[in-house]
Amino acid sequence: MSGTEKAGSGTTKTPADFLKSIRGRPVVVKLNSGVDYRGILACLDGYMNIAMEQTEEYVNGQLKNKYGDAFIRGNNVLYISTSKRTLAEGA
Amino acid sequence: MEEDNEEEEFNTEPLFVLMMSVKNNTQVLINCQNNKKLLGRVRAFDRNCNMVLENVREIWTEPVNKDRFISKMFLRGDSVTIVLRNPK
Repeated sequence: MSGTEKAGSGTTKTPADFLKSIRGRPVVVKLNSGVDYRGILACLDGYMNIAMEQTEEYVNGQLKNKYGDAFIRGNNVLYISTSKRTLAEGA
Repeated sequence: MEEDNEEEEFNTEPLFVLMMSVKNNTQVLINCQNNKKLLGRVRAFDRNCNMVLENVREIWTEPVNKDRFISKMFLRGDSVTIVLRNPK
């Protein structure tokens, strides 16, 4: 059973584990409308509602607005992405 | 007791953004599914993001830039895309 997992690997097991692991980190949230929100993920809940800090709104790759705290209702979320590179390099 | 638990829940979950507007009587900007924005104060809300809003400026740009004032409204949570608070 354990043969399929490497000891000490960074693999996360479930989507919920991924979501827990990205709390407090810079993320990109893409909505169904195509708009991106970038910022620090403060928290999220079981509906995939998201609270973000230092939020920046990108439309067609262009920075449009900056906000403080943002609440994103979960039904609008297409994906949540984190990147080991700086956000300036894009998602 | 139930109310205390609910407030604690909202303080530690994403909905704290709405809770802060209720508590501090501060304005939020709500982007809606219909591509209009609502700038106003949150009087009350629930976990579906249904809200009672006060002193609301409804703003839109299509087909022309326009806005109107609504002193009190009930907003159905399904209409909400994002709720924004200005930097502190």
